[in-house]
Amino acid sequence: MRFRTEPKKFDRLINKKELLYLKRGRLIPSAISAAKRAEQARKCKFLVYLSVMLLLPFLILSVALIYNSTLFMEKLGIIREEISVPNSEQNTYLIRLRFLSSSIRNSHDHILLYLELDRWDLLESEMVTMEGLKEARRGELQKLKESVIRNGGENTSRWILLQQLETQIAKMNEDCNIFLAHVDSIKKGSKKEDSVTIKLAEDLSYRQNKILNVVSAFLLYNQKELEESSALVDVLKVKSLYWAYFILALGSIMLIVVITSINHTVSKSLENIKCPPKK
Amino acid sequence: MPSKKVALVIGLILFALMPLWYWGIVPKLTGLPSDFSYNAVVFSRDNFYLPEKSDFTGEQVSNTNYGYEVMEIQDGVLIIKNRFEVQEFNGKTIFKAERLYGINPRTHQHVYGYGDQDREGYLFAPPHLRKGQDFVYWHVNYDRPAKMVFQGEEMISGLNVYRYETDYQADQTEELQAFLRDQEKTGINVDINLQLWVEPVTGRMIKYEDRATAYFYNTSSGERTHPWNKFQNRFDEVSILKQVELAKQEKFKRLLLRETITGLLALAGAVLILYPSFINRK
Repeated sequence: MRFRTEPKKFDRLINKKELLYLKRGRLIPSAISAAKRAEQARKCKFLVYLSVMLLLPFLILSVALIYNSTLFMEKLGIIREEISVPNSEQNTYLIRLRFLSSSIRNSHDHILLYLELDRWDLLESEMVTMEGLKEARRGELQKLKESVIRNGGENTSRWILLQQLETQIAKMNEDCNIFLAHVDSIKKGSKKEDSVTIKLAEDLSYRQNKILNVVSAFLLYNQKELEESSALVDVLKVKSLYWAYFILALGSIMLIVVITSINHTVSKSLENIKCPPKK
Repeated sequence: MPSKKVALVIGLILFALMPLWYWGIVPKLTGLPSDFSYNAVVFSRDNFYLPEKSDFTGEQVSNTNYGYEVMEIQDGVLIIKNRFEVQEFNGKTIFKAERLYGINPRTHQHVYGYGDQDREGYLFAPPHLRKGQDFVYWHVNYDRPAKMVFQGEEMISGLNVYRYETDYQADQTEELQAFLRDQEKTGINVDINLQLWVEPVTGRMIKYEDRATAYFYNTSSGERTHPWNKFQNRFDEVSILKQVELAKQEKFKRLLLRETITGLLALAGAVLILYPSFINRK
């Protein structure tokens, strides 16, 4: 085995044919193919380098543009979640509150009428209806409060409006209780005093108007906020668009720099290639 | 060789362009545009005084319209209308004022001889405010110069702002004629606490808050008889967010045009001037 391998090793280094090439002052064919392969590998590497360098600006550009649009979409989502959705939710509660308040006012008017007509049967049922309406209004107010707390909480304009609404409703409930107690006393046999009844009815009407004013203020405020949020979306749109232009401009500059640098590298490598000496 | 000369010449041109760009073109590009406008939702609360009960009626929310817009341009000065109207929900006007300011678009300064009266100070604040720098501001509601005193730095939605505050007095007799029974003998003056939040690079107002108490006074003696109204105004949260975004945009524009492009001009000029000597040494 040793006898066989050793000449082989020697053959690999140089054989007679190759010695002949060398003696004639020419390159060994296998060496030529190795040099060609090395040259091809070098070219290949260079091409890979060129491709990476050219692709890099596009890659960075795409990532930046995607990030920019994601940011915009994220902000839109926040606006929708924190302004538009709570706004419409609160508007629903406010409209119900306004309806219930108007119904309570109507109920007061009915009670006054039945009191005038001495229709105690109808008056009693109306009083029950009014209690039900007041209970429903309390429920709607609670839902509104929960929505306001969930979306911003204290120290916001909505919180101030809610507090005003709560105060007015509480005051009206107090006035209403006094009115009902007065009606109850008449029912139990007390003397019907028109002046007291009228004064209480006036107070209730005044409170009712106050509640309606606060509800209107709340609704108008929500409407204005909704318009302002749409203006904010426009501002964000313009901003996102400007950023996109800016990214494109930066990308173009980067591409020009890369192409110039590649051009420089190629020119340099072309300069380095020397022509073979003439015979 | 000629290419080296060309590089040197271009480099020198770029250097010569730098001051022209910085002091000539940038202020034009970063100044207030000819279609400038500023709108915000103002949340107002009024608490009127009832002399019969010697007490305030309780706070009520009012409907306020507030904004700025350019009406015309006179000799490069922007004539900006600032409106402020407060109404009750029954449509009754509580306060209404419209002022015309003559504003230099580059410095945001009031210009003498323009607008409905001569004013000193700024529309909002001067751009490139230094920390601790005070300035004079005219608020539409009071139409008097307010010396805004620096209070500190704050962050609003990721934007660095300076907070300013002042306490002063103003006379609103002219605007509140409808509330005066005897217009010759009585007037209305106001004690004001005004706060401004300003973005220092752009000088843009991000929000304001004022609390004031207005009093009836005797015009001959100057003595106050009784309060008229305790009121306060402030920006809505969404309006603040909008102003923050606008200020961020404007700040970036200023940074890009003023610092970045000027820096790039200087860098390119230096490279081109030094390029021939670098080649020669090689």
